[in-house]
Order: sequence, then C-alpha cells, then structure tokens
Amino acid sequence: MEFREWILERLTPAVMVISSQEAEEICQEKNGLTVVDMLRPYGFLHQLSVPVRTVGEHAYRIREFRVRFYKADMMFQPPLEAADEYLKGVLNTAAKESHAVEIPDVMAALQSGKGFLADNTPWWNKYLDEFHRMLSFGELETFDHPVGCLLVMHAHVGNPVEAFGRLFHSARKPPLMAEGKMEHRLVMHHLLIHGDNVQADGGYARSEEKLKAARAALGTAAVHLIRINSGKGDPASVLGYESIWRPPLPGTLPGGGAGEPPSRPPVPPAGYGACLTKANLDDIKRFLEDFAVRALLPAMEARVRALNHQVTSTRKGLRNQLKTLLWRKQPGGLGAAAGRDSPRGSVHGGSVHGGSAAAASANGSAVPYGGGSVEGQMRALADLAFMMQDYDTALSTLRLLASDLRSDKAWKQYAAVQEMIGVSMFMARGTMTDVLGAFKEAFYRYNSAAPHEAQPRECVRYATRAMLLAAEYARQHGACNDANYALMKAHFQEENLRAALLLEQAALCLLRVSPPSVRKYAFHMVLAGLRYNACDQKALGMRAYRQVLSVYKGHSWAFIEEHIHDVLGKQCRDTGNFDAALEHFAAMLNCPHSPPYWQSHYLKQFMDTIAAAGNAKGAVPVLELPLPVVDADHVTVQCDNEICHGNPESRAQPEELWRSLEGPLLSGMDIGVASWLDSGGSSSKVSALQLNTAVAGEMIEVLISLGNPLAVDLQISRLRLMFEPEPMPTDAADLQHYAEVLEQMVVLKGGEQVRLALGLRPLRPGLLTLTGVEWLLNGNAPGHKLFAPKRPRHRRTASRAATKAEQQSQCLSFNILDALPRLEASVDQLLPTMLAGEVRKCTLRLRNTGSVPLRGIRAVSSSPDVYLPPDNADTSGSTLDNLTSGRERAAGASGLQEPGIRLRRGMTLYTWPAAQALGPGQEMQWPLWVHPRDKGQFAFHLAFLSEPEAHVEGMSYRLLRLSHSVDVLPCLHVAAELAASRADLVTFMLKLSMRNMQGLQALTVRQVSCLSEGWRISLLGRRGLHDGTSATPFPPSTSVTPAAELPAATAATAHFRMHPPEAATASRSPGEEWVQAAEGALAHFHSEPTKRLQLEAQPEQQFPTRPSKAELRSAALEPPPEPSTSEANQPSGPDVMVVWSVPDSAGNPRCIGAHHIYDLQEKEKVAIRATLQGEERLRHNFGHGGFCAAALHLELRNCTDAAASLCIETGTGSPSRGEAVWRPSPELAPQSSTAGDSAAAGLSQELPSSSGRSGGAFPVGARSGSEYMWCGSVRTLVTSLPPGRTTRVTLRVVVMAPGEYEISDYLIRWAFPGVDQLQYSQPGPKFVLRVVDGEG
Amino acid sequence: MSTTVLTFVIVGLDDHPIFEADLAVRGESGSRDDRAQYLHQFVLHAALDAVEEQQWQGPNMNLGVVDKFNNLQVSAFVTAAQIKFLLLHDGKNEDTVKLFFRDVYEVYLRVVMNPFFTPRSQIKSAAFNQKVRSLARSYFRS
Repeated sequence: MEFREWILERLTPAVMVISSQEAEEICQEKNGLTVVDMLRPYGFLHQLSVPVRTVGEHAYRIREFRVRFYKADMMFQPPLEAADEYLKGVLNTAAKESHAVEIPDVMAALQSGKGFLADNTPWWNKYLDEFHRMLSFGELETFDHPVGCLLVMHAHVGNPVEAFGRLFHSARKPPLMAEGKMEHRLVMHHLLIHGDNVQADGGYARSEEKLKAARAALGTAAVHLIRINSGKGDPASVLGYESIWRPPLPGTLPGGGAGEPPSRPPVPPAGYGACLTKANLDDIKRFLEDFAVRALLPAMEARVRALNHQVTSTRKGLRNQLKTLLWRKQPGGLGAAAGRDSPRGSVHGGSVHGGSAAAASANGSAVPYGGGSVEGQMRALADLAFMMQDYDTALSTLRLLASDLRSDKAWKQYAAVQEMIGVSMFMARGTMTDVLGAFKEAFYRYNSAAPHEAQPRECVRYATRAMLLAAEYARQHGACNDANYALMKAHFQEENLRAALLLEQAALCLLRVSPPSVRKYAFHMVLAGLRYNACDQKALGMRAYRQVLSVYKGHSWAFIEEHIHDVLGKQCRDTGNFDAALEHFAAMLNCPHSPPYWQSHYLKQFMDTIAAAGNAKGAVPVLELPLPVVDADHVTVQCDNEICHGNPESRAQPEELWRSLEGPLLSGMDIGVASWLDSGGSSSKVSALQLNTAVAGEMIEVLISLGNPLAVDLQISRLRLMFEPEPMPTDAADLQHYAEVLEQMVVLKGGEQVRLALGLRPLRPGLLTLTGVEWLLNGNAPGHKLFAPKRPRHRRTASRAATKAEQQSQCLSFNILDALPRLEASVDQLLPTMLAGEVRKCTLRLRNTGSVPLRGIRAVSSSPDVYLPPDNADTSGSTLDNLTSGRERAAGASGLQEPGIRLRRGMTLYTWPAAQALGPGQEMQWPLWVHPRDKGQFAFHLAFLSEPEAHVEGMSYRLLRLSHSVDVLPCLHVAAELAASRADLVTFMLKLSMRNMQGLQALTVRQVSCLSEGWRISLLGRRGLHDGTSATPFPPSTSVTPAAELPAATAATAHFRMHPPEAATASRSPGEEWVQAAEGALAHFHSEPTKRLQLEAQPEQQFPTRPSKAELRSAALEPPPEPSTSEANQPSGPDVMVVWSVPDSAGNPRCIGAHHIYDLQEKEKVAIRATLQGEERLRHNFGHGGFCAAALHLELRNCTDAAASLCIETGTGSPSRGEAVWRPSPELAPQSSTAGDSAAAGLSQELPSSSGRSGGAFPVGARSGSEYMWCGSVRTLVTSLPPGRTTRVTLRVVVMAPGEYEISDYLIRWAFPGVDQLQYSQPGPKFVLRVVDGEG
Repeated sequence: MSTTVLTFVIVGLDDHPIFEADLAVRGESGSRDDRAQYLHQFVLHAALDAVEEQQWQGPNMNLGVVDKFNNLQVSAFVTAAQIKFLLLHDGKNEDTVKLFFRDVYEVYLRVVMNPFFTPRSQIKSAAFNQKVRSLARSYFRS
C-alpha cells in the first residue's frame, strides 16, 4: 500500500461506540458481527465535498474522509507482554504459510534482469499491521483518541432517550479517559437499531415513532434509526457482500485491547452479515454519511478552532514567547508551585500539571502531559488538524510543541512529536531529508529516553515504529539505502524476533538498490536467519539461509559456506529432513581450512547423521561426497580391444612402432578399413560414434586420482566403478548380470593423494558406459562421484581434436563384444642385465586366457637379435645344453609353419600353422633366443596376432603387444686383421686382438668358428709336439677351440690360419666344436646381418595396410637403398665368430656369448703371391768343387681376377722405390713359435714388456749382398698366368763359400695386358740359404 | 584486553578470495576465537558491494574505509585489474592502512608477473605470505 494512503487510512478520527447489550445481540446473533464491525466498512466516505474552515481565513473542502469505530471499553493499549505474545502468534500463523511461498533464487533473478521486486514476505505485512495496531491508543499521541461518541440502542426499548442516558453513564469508558488524559467532552450521537427478527409490537413503524420522540428530545441531527436483519439468513438469499467484512476483521487479544474485544462472536453458517439486505446496508451507509458530515466534521471543526484559540492565547505571540523563555529557563528546583503559576497550567486545570515536566524529567521518570495541559492541547490541536487534513497547522503546532518539549527535556514526548512532524511533513510534501531527519531524530530521542523509563522496551517499540515509518517512506520513494539504514538501526535495540524481521526487510531493501547490493543483502539475511533461529522461528530462519546459499555458493569463501551449511544442516536434521541435512553436512566435509578438531567434528557429525538417517528410513542416500577428492576430469581408461597389451612397458611405446610391427601381421587380412564412402549402410550409433571396444569377460581398468585434503585419516572401502548398460535394465538388481565390478579398499592418510586402477569386467555384449565411481566413506557413508560427461565425439571432428589413442583413453563408453579368445604371452628367464654379445635362451609362454579357442598365431619381433627357432624342441634345458655340439637333438613336438621370414628394419615374422589351435587355458612354450650385440639398452618388442577359431562379430583378430628391455654391459671387444700368409700361396693369417671390457670377471674364449662358405680355420703350429709323434699341422676345420682365458680388463692377441675355399681340403669336418656353430641359434644370429643386408637391397615389400603418416614420413627420410652393383660382385671376405663364456665360481660356463666379425678383408691386397722354396741346408764339399749350385723354386700365384704376364728379374739389387711394393707383413713364422706348446701356439700375450718385439724373420748375422750369383737368364718370362692359377719358376743360385745367404735381390714384375698398360713390380720373397762345407 | 582484529583478503575476479591472512597479533593466551573468522568473512564479503560502488567515484586506488559493521571497519584498495585488497580492522589509522596497501601492492605485482598466475588462481606463495605478514607487523605493531 502506498505510504500516503496508508497514513490517510491509519491517522483518521476515531469514534467511541457504546452499545447496549440488546443492540449487540441483535447484530451478533444473526450476522456474526458486533455493532462496531458492522459499521466499519462504511467508515470510508468518499465523493464528498464538505467545506471546512479550521484556523485559517479560508475554507477548504474535504473530498474523502475516514472514520474509525472502536468499542469504548477496548480503546486502550494492550500491555507490552500481551502484545508481544499476540504478535508472536501472528507471526507463527504467518510463518506456517511461508512454506507456500517459493524461495527465490536471488542470483538467477538478478542475472535475468527481472530483479527481485516481488513481495515474498507476506508475514511481514501481517506483522507490521498488527504491530502498528498494538501501539495505538498510546498516551503520547492523541489521534487515536475519540472525537465522537456513538450510543447504540435497540429500537424496541421503551424510552430511548432515558435509555441512552443510562447507557452512557453505565458504560465503561476508555482507561485514559478515566485518567483524564483523554478528552471527555465529545460530540454525542445516537443510533437506534431496529431488528426485523425481533418480534415487537408495532414493528418498524413503532420504531420510527420512537425515533421521532428521541429526535425531539436530543436534536434532529443527533439520532438515527437503522433497520437490520431484514434477510432470512439462509444461504440462498445471501447478498455475497461477506468479503467487505472479512478482511478488516482484526485479531483479538485475550484481555481485549487495541480496539478489539477479547473474542469475536461465532460466525453464522451463511457467513458474516447473513441477514443484512441491500436496504439494510443502504440504511447504514446513509446513517454514516449523515453522522460524519453533519455531526462529526462540524464538531471537529469547532474543536480545532477552540483549541487553536487557547493555544494562541497561551503559547503564541510575543508576550507568551517571552514568558515561556523566562519560565522555562527556570531550573527544575522551582518545583510544582512555580509550575502551577505558569501560564501553561492555568487553562483547564488538568489533573496533572504541565509545569512539573521539567522537574519530573530531571528525576528521570516519564512526564505525562495531561489533556488539560497546554502541551496536551497543542498535541490535540495538531492531531486534529492533521485529521482534518490541515497539515500546515498541524506542522506549525507540532514544531512549537517540539521546541517546548525539547527545553523540558521530555524526550519521550519530544520523540513522539518528532515522529508526527515527520508524518505531517510528508503529508505537507516536505523534502525527503527533512522527513527522514524527523524520523531519525524521533528514533534517537526514543532510544535516549528508554533507559530512564519504567518500561524501556516500550520506548524501543516506539523507536522501532519511527524507523519503520522512515523505512517505508524511504523505500517507497526509491531511497532503499536509507530504508536499509533505518531498519538496521532499528534492529539493534530490538528483541530477537522483531530484529530478525527488521533485518530481513533491511536485506530485501538492498536488492532494490541499483545495482543490487547482493553481497550485503546476503550478509543481512544471514544475520536475520541467526536472529530467527535465536527466537525459535526455525522455518523463517531456514528460509533466510536458503535464500542466500546461491549468493555464496561456489565463491570459495570457506568459512561462510561452512557456516551456512552447518546451520541449514542442523535445522534439516532437527526437522527430520535427513536427505537435505546430509547434503549440507556433506558440503561441509571438504574443510582443509579448519583446524583438525573441527574437521573430525564435521566428519563425525556427518557420520552420525548418516546413522540416524539409516535408522529412520532404513536406507542411506548415496551422495556426491567431497571426500575423498576424486579427479573426475582426468580419468584414463585402459582396456584391451583388438589390441591387448601384454605388459605395462608395452603401453609406453609409441603407437607408430606398433603399427610398423603389426603391419606385416595384418597383411592379407581383411581389417575393414572404413572410409566415408562405405559407411552409408551402417549408420548405427555404434559406428557413427567412436566408442571404445572391449570384450566381455576381460577387465577394463580406469585410473583415477583420489586425494584426502583433510588432516584426518579417511577409510575408503568398497571403492568401485559405476556403470550403465544400454538399454538400462528396469530392475537395478539386474545390473550385476551386465558386469562384474571389482571393489577396492584404501586408507588415505591426511593430505595423501593416490592414483588407483579400478577394474570392471563386463559380462554381456552390448553398450556400456562408465558413469562414475562410488565408495563407502569410513564404513558407513556411501558416496559417489560422476565422471565429467565426455560423450564420444563424432568421428570427423574428433580426428582433428585429438589423436585416436588419447581419445580412446578418455572415452568412457564401450561397445562390449561377445567373449573372444585372448592370447597372453610372457618371456621367462630374461634377465634385466646381460653382457654384450651374450646368447641366452628364454622361454616364450603363449597362453589363451579367453574362453574361446584361438588359432592362426603369428608373431613379429622387432629386433634381429631375437630368434624363435622353427620348432620347440629346445624348450627345456639350459642355454649351454641347447648349444653344445654333438647332442642328440630330438624333433620338436610342434613347429612353425615355416622359419621366420625376415622383414625390413630387422623385423622377423613367425607364423605358426593355421591349424594349430590353443584352447581356453592352454599354454604353449617356445624357446626364444636373445642375443644383444652392443652395450647399452636393448629393447625388443613382440607383436602377436591371433584369430578366434570361430568367427565373432565385430572382431576378427586380436593383437597382443609385448615389450621388453634389457640393460647390456660391455664384455668382449675383438678386432680382427687378415693378412696373406707368407708360408704358402693361398692361406691367410688371422690376428684377433681381444680385450675383456668388463672389469670384474675373467672370460674364456672358447671357440673361433669360420662359417663362410668354403673357408676353414686352423690353429697355428703343429700338433703332436708333446707326445713325440710326428708333428703335423692342424687340419683346417670350421671351428677351433683355443680355450684361452682372458682375465678381467686385459687384452690379448691370437693368430689363426684361414684357409680360403681354393685351399680347402676335402675335410668338411667341423673339427673340435665346443658349441654348435653351424646350425641352431648361433648360426642364425651369425648369419642374420648378412641376410638382412641382402633383404634391404631388395625393394620394399608393400603391405596392404594403409601406412600411417608417421610411417610415410620415416620412409621419406630414409635414404633409398643404393643399387650397388659393383660391390655386390666383389667376393666377400670370411666371417668369423668368436664364442666366449664367463665361468661361474665352479668353473662351469655361466653365460655364453658370441662375437661376430663379418667380411674380413686383407689388410693389404696382394696381386701376385710368391714363395721361394728350395733346400734350405746344402752340404757341399767346396774342396772338390769350386761352387755350390742351388735350385730355388719360385711359386707364383695370380690372386687377381685378370690374366697377368710376369717377368722375374734376378740380380736387381735393392728394391727400387716408386713402384708398387710388396712388403712382408709382420708374420709370426712357424719357427718362432716352436718353443710354445700347441695350445698356446696361436696366442701370445701382449705384455707391455714384450711390446718391442718385432716380427723379424732373419737370422742374426746372415749375410746379404752379392756373395752369391744368379745363374741362368736374368729374366724369366711367364707370358700369361690366368687368374687363380699357380706357376713355378726355377731360379738357380751359385755360392762360392759355405755360409748363410739371404737371397733377395730379384724382382717380380707383372702387368695385366687385358686390363691396363701399367707395370707393377715387387721384390721377391727372401730366402735364407745355408751352405755347409761337406768336409766340415 | 580484547584481541585486535586484522584480517587481510585479496579478492580476485568473481568474488573469489585468492589470498587470506589473519594478521592480528595473538594475545598471551594464544587461542583466538576461531568462530570470529566467520563474522569476519561475512563482513568482508558484504563490503565488496560497497567497494564496487565506490571504486568508480574517484581516481584513487585506495578507497579508505568503505564499510562498517558495528566496530569493524573494512578498508579497501582496488588495483587496475579490479583485484580488491580488503583489510578488516577495528579502527586503524587510515594513513597507515594506505601505506600498508601500497606496500602490499608492490609485493603483489611481483606475484602477478608470474606468467602462470591468473586472476582466479590462489596465491599460495609462502614468500608473499611472509612478506605481507612482516608488512603488517611493521605497520600495525602497537
């Protein structure tokens, strides 16, 4: 309601009604209304035009006029306690209806721009009306004092005039009137009520006669007759005007008061005013118009003028002002006597004298200014003028009064006057500052007077009223901040209930400010909630808190949110709303800012409520608990679809690696590469969306992070994944048929964070989505957390955003396929550390853990240093057993379909026979040879492919990935050199410089094998030196076993003789072999690089799979294999394998290794090899003949591949420079090693002291020079020596004396006429000829 | 003697407090009423309305006392990026508060220079915390 309207309705003349018992009965019996109630609706008179003149010269017209009717004995202010009790009841009733009022979402309302202006506090309006009513009839103000008296008598009484007189004198008057504080000289009016239901003689005509008689006695205008109860009172004839009585019916107090009786008459069945007809109502209306216009207004007019006259004579004017100045300056000590003589007390001789005011106020007690005092008269004048709508008069009078009271220090009265000044100023259209200033002054003065009063709370109530008026005024005039200020001021002094209401209104005012002060609103609302709770208005308190929850939620003000949830949670718990209570308590749990005591307290509170809820309802709701903190945004899925990961390391490998490995496996298979062209037919949900594929019966793992932010330990049990199959089964119990969920238990220490893998095993094919994770906190509280909804994206858009693998690990929706076979593989006996070159046999175990048989196993190994033999005969036994030569080798139980097919980049493809099936649970073992060649990290990857034996829809094959890594330590370093032997024309000398690179243990070189086609190797020296039998050279064979020990960190050199294919004898015996070198794993590893070279030279084999982008990129970067025709034609040198072993403590070989040397080439290529042979020791009797002739045979061999023409020149002197010169390579001649035994023949330890030893072969003191003479032709020509052929030239030498001769001064020249025109020469090999005199 | 009230809060965007520190000097008893923190937060949060109202009324970053509740006062300082420094106190000298804000602002700027800092991220730097506390000790030591 508008403020002005409200004031016009509220501050209107009151009429005291005194009715006879009979008149009341006539009314109440039929209509349920007292006389006062019946008259009230017609108290509002409009469409008037009554000229009035108050104090001014000019008359003005009153257009609207309201009259209030009160029963005379009820015109008093109810006691404070009763009023408060009544108000509490009013609020309780209103609060019960508050449930019906929707709790607004403040933030949503503000953000939508609609604002928050709807009135959603109906209890406040009810309370406010009643609060104002409880404060009426106070002694501080007079506008509630009656201005007229209406005597009501029933028309059937014998003598109305007498009866009216009796009635007035016998009736109880208002208490204040009895005390003389209320004006008792009132205008009297008389009303006769004729009830048609009363059976009286003469009926209405008789009553009219009585009226005439009464009018004759009391005056025509002072008596009226109305006729009521003309209706039947049955529902059919009711007018339907009940609503005009019902709304204004105020509540009643037990002792009556505030204008209302203690109780109301019962309501008749047909409603209020059941027997009143239209004519009756018109009667009442006519009467009241007549009464107001002709009796009440003239009386008031007259009274205003009279009062004004008195006030003017005593208070206004210069003389009176001077008097006032003088008299009021007197201190309180003047006493009552002085006051009595003062002009103010002299007018009507009121019972309480105004002059005592100063003294009384000095004593701190209330100062009643009686109706007879001039202050009382001024107040009455002001109020009457106000009611007569002459606001200027009212205002000037009030200001005058205020100044008097101020000097009297009668603060309470002064405050009341200020309050009225505020209202009058408003009605006189004063400025807002003035109006609010007056109200604030009133508030301040009420409060300052309160401590000195007998009833301080009464003052507080008045102060509150002043502020309520101010707030209402400010609010309606757009000054919501002022309204808020006023209400906040008012609430401080008030008791809890009123303070709560005031705070609530203050808060709501803030929402009307532009822009709305939402945060302040929330704070004030919380304060209101606190006050409501303190006065046990739980419903309203909770409402206040719930309104502000949206303001504070999610802004991280931890203490605020904690407080609100705490209060709301406790209230919900107390009201039995456990669900809401749990929600609030759960929201409080994540409180790392609180001390540990409160953390555990909140946890306990929550757990207790859980228990209580369980007891009350039997079931505990599953909440989204904040404890533990689950990182739902970063969930990683690990599941095996067509690609299975055999070990965790395999997941770490890049996808490109596996693609390249799996390409050969998938070659020839229909892997169903789909394009946008052929997706038209299958536009189902499964194909359009990228779902993860999983297999029924196989585990899906989800990695999630759990954290405990508190300082208190948390016990998390039954931690498990939640899932939703599609379609969702109607019965929740059926869920267990869809998947088996593994539960975990974990105790999180304070502040701990863990990452866990949760498992789920789907049991049925179909669609399944992982929705979240659920757990049981501390054994009792079920909680859950939903994963962030990440619906699979459309294929086309998804491909741009993330890689497929990434997206698969994020996607939580699965297409579950029917049970499939699952191949699992493991490599046993693989050590984490190996030596470089070590050969180790491991066991590959292939197992079908699925429930369906599988077949068609294929495997690809990434490294050439991993080897699967063609059959599994060697599965058992140690590495050495399987390598040792000469053992009985049984055929394997099963074999590969064909030996491993070498592929590019060192990969090897192994295929098991297609028919070989592996049933569920069956296992197959296979030897797996590992041979890391170089130090460092040796990683190898195996990819397996298997197919289900019977076709399964959705997945025609499965891949298994296995990845292993070994640390490889350095072991043996071998450097080899090959040089042509000088002892013959075909064999070569092999020098092996070996160094044991490991510093801890000795190793033994057990075997040197030459596996090249046709090449043989033999030890140097001769065997049989010890047993005395004739020493023969070691026969050439493929392997020799030198068995030389190489202590830690030492080096050694060994020499062997290599026999090229040309010199190979018929013997193909492998010789003494320690390990089998020609076949088996060693042979495979030995031949691997050679074959790989051959393979790489071939054009790359194309697989039908689409190569990935990475593959294409790497292919582009790789240099294309060069077509090396020239190199391919060159004869390759021999390959040598050095086998070593590291013995354990008992001397048995602990591990075996092999070192490979490929394509040994001569250090310096020799075109023509030559040897000079002849009898080394000649006996000649120089006494008989003058000289000794010796025939020397020069064997020549053409080592090139072109025919050569040779020329041997003798006697050329020292070899000339500038030509191609053959120099003897330092060669260990057989003679020098005669001292050693045969075992050590080829191996001399290179100790530092012996480093200076040279390989010189000449006997000391041998003479050289021309003491011998060549015989025969100086030049011997060999016209053509075809390639590889040998020829012999005999040279003759003559010596004259015994001695030793070094035959060296001859030259071999050659040319290749078919190739070029160059000539080559070299000195011929030396020969030492020893000639002994035959006589000696 | 009643314990002093001195709570400092930096409020980032969307009203999120990004730094909170109770700078009051603890009395002999050592145990403060923890529950008072609830009121302090409420008052500080409510003061944000007043800060937003007053920050556009002048060119100064320092707004002085913007809000009061009973004997609690809230002084505010708004940076150019609309980050609000609020200090809840029981009637400190306004000039002292101004100096305190100025010095905290300098320290805060160093935090902002961290490229990983966003106006919504909490300031968890221990050095910043220590610096603010030492500034408070030097300015409000009584």
